[in-house]
Amino acid sequence: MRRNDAAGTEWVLEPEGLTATAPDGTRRFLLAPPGYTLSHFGEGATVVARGEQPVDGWWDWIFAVEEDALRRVGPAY
Amino acid sequence: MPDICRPWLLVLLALSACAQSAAPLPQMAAAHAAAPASARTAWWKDNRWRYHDEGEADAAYQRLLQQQSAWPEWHQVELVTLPAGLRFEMALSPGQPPERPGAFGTFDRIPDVRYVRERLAVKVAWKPSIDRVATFEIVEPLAADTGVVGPQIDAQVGYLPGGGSQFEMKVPAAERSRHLKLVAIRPIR
Repeated sequence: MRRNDAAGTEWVLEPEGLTATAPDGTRRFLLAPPGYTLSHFGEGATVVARGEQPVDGWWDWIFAVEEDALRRVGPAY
Repeated sequence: MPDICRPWLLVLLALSACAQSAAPLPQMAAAHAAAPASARTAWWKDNRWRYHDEGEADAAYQRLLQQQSAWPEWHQVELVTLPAGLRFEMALSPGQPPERPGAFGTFDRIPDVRYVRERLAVKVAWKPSIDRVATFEIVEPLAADTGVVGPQIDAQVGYLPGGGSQFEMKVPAAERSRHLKLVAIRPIR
């Protein structure tokens, strides 16, 4: 699953994590949070991840894509 | 109790309920910060009767804002094994592949996005866009909790009454697809 953002960075989503390739060829990898596999891109700079166990009653969560990590934002239905 | 004391009692009860709730994520708290006042009025009309007094009802409302449980407060967990052959529907967001289903399904027919918001009480923050409905069939018995969708308060839409049918798969995400077969997929608006 691929997506390009406004800055020209190409994002590739795989269950294990996100690979970002900048226009200058620089690559970085954001690992899926422990206990989660990535499912699909969400709105804006977010991804939806599916869990092995529920947290606060929710199995799946939306994570914001930050500089070097994925930050839990809220439940995903 | 003098009437003049009642508002202060409600405020104290509400603050107490907030303090006792399980450490809410700050992002979740922010998500309902702008809930319209009319949403509380609508929730109150439907749910006030469930509680002994206004303080108890207000505390329940605060819990809903904080915890956003997918189930109504009166729900009793009922773990069942859904049998092979049973069909259900699931709303999908743009880009969500049906081979990576979510944890919740419904035995209702989903006619449109409005139904997903109002009857299945899917908050905009949880699924900002919805473009398709997938019909799945269970092919391998599936552990699930079943019941009725609980109400929600949405920052954009307001009061979502819920009331549709719902089940929650009680298997890790990676195992969901093993239990399911995609039967059909259709667009909704």
